[in-house]
Amino acid sequence: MKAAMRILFTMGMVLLVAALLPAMGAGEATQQDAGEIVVYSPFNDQFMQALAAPFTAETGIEVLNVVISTGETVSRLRAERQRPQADFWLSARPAILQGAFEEGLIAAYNPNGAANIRPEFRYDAAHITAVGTYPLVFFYNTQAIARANMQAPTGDWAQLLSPAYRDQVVMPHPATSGTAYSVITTIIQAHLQNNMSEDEAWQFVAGLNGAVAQFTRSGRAPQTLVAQGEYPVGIGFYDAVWQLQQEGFPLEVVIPNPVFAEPYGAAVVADAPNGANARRFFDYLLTPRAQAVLTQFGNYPVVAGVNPPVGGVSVPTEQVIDIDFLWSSANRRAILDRFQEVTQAEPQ
Amino acid sequence: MNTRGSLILREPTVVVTVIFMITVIALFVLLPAASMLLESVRGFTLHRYVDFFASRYFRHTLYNTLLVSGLATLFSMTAGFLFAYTVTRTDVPLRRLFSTIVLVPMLLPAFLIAFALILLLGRNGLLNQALEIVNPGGVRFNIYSPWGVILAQTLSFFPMSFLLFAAALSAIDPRLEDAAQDLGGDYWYTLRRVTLPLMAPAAFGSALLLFMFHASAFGAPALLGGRGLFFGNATMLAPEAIIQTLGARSDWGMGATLAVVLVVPSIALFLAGEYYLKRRSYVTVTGAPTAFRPRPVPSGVKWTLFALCLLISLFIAAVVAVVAVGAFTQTWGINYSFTDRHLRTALTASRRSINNSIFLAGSGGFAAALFGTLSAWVFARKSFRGSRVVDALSMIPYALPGMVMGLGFAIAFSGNIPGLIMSGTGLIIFLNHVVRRMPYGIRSAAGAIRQIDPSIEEAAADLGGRPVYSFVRVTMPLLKDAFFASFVFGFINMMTDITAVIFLVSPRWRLLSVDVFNAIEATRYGTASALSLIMILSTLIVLAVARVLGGVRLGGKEAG
Repeated sequence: MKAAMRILFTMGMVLLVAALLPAMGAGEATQQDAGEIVVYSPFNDQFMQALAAPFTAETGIEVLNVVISTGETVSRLRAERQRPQADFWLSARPAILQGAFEEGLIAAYNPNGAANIRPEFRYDAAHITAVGTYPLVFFYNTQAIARANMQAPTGDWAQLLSPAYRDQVVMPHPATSGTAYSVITTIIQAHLQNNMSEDEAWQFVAGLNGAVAQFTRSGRAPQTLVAQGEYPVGIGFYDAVWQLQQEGFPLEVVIPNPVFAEPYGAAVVADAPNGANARRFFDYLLTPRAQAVLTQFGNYPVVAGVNPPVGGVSVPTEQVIDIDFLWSSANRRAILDRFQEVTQAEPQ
Repeated sequence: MNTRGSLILREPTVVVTVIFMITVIALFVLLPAASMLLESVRGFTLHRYVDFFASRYFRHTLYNTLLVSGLATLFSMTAGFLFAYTVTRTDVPLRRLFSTIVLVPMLLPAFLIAFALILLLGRNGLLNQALEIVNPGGVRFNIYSPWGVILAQTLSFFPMSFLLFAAALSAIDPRLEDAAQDLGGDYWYTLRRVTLPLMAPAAFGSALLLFMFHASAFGAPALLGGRGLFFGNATMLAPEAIIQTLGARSDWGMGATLAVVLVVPSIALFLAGEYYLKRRSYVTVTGAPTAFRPRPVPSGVKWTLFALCLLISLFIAAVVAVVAVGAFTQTWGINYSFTDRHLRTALTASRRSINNSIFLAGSGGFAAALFGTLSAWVFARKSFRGSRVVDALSMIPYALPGMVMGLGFAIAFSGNIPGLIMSGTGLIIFLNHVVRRMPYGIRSAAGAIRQIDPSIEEAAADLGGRPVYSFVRVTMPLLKDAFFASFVFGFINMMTDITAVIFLVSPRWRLLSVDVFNAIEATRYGTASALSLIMILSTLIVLAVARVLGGVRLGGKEAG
């Protein structure tokens, strides 16, 4: 019996180790693997794979994406500062990139092809390079708005404060979502640029709070909630609306006045394990080929000579609000605190 | 045999096994649990606990956890008893079919059931669309509510109370009920005064276990409770702990605090439930009902039971059906035409995740079953001082909610302890998996071994068989079923686990279950359905193969 037991035990241990080794080996191979980059981005898997496919085919570098919101990316980059896990960060507004650069989370890089970027999307700062853009829009579900007997949004921000809109609007929460931060800075700047005070802007936010039924965690949740008819009206970026329109959801878009239409940028993570690959990926993003993939997902190109998304709305340039990203970045903490104080709302 | 001398010389196998086991438990159970506890008081402060109880929002998560779990426990026990009674004690038609269908939710993780409920009862769900046709603008189901969470939790866990009640009911001697009726008691009197009182121990034990499982739930409240539950706009403890750590706040200290608040009562309840069930010898979490002499019940009762069981069974069938149909539907709620694009997207976008999940569930399930079976065998055949302590210790990971094991692993092995950095690897997921499922292997093998009389092995030896022969020809076949059972349990739970692995996945080691969860959360229902279908099919294939090879039946489900 004892011999049998020993044989069984030895067999078991050998098999256990055999089962362990491949897992361990694959785990070890993760560090400093030259053929990969890890990308943090709020873009979904399908989008990221379509974007990465031509790059991988050309360079052999595999793109591993993590779907994660802007606010979450910043805290994760902060937490991983001593041991960075990601190489590249795709899609953050200039104000957010400015803050991350000041904290030492991202490295400055001037990608090849930056010269092809259209003048209106160029930034002087070396750590901010535009990659794509889409406007911040109002959108509504045609069926839900008919059910609720509401007037469709016209693009006038003040309309959102009318009694008919009470608890009918969904937008993201600025603490977690870069989208929502853009909404709030647009409101404040619109007031300041019309010679009104910041307090008046916050009075407007307090009124808007009455219209908002839910502040979502993710910047792309309002689009799906409105698409499904959970709420009639939403505020958010156009790309996700465009994608849902392609799926057949009954969504309509209105360009607000003023409209936030700043481009989004990308960045190489500071001390990225695969920094060289990340820089190649950055170069690739500004090629006409990559820019064309962006337009297949409702994004507008920033380089000349690439067509906008098929059937996409056009943004009247005179409605676009000019926001100083240095102001936006420097006041971020104060704006978020004031927002919390005014609305008392938690992200859901 | 030398009866004196040191244990290491007499029983090297036992010593090696015990040392191995203690090392595993110390490194992969006690260390993560301690790391979590320390994280919650990091900086030698109790301020996080003070903050927890000072914050109305956090107190609401606790109240919601208690109330939702209490109601879900009540409903799952009612439904479980209904099915168990129907199957074991009545002549209701189709009861064999009911007893099979009732086990189907055991294969499905709670978040998948919540997802199916969205497809059925969401704003664009089938039932609400039907209501819109029948009564435009009228009342609708609202699945994003505490009742939606309770429904998902009940469907997910009532099979467990079914198994407990069925085992307890089959342990009752039918002659007790016959005697009551012979003495003039009618049906209701017998049920009230004989059958139900005899169920009290099983009911109490399973209530404790179910409450613990419901309280540590993550998937259903995360998907359905985002707009607040009974109290305020707060969710439950487990999802809130995940939001605190993995969300924008990245506050691991607060997440650990929430987990401690959750885990202390959970372990107490689990131990109490286990102890109670064991002491009353109504154990057998895995015991399925065997054949019973059907007895006639009043026709009103009979057809009421039939209708209720049929309704619940149809609902279970619908849960599986909508996911399968959803995988091939253009856009759920909008355009029901056929497409294979979701399946193609799922197979390309999640190719790595599918491979990772199958590889880790296969190798991890194998290691857990092997190590569990071996340990059980060593412990059963050899008694030594402290064997009961080691046995009790090895059960701890079974009592810990998955979230605690995931959070603990993430804190302990991410560089807080020099030399023990495993974050970002497949190894951390593999080890977490093995440690959590090993207790089931030990338990199911221990049950099988107790049934093997040592004299069978001795008889083989006496008849001239060498030890190897008696082991290969006698012991192995007898342990085979236990091995396959724990492999299947490990494989299925690994494929469908979300609460632990959500802390352990990394860009290189993404998993199928997490991809499914993310797709649901992003409301990409087509992709989510296609991925779910792949997940369900892979578990069914493994179950079918194990059934052919090892005669495996559906067994237990673990806490979220």
